[in-house]
Amino acid sequence: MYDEPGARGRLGETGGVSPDLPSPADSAAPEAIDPPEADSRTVPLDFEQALDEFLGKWALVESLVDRLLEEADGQIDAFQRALRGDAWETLRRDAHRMRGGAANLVAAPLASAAHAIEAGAAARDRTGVERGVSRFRQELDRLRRFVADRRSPQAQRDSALPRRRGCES
Amino acid sequence: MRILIVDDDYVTRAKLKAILSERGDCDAAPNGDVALSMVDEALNESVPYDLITMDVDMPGMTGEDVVRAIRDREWNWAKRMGRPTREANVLMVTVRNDAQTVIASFRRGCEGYLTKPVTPEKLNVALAKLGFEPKPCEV
Repeated sequence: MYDEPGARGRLGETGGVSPDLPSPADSAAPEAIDPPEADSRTVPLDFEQALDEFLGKWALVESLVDRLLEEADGQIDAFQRALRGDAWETLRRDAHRMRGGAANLVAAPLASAAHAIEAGAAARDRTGVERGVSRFRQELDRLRRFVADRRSPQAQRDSALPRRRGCES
Repeated sequence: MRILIVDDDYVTRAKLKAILSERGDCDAAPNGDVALSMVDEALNESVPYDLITMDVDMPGMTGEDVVRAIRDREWNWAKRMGRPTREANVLMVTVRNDAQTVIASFRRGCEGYLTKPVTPEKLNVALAKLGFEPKPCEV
């Protein structure tokens, strides 16, 4: 009468691998989010894509961007404290979380910098983490300026805020 | 439909909620302990979750361990109530796509796997594989 817990998703017993498994080529890659290397040409945050991905919920995107900026600001000190205390796992996990948040808001350069910290922490590479934190700070400054410019009255006159097609009601 | 979103990152929680709220009532938990309390509560109310999205890398319990604990709870609940087991569809939503994590997730009882960053289109495809109908406006 009772199904064994977890039986539905088990491998091996059903004789096959779920079709949802990534291909071997995908599996060879360490992780999924692999934002482009940040440089001055990469837009700090793709508002239009973010708006698309949040189904046109502009107020939500704005509030999340504000929260990301605030949290990332405080996170720099936390990164440095963790590095001083050799708290590698805390460092890795915090960087991982920042990376996920930035990537989901389509802030690729900040996500990339967080990824560098995460990778450095996983390898216990102090120099790598320091470089990553420095890049994270630069990208955060660039993102903050970008968002402020985007919200300036002139910018709002020049281009109306993007609105997602359909699905908005 | 009842949906539980489990992720330690608030942006991911907000994004999943923005997308999934068109499909049903969404609750959210920032870690495994809170998620398990919510699953317990839902089972005790006899209104279990239909869909659970689960991050892997979280403080405390990992997502794979949370899934296993959910399956144990569902099984114990069914035994206690004398009913057939009703398992929520669990979709892992994570940046990890290494084979070890994917296999561990399925072994512990998830049904689907989606890599971040989340987009409505990717989520729609993953949910369709689990048997949920696509949202008309996203087709």
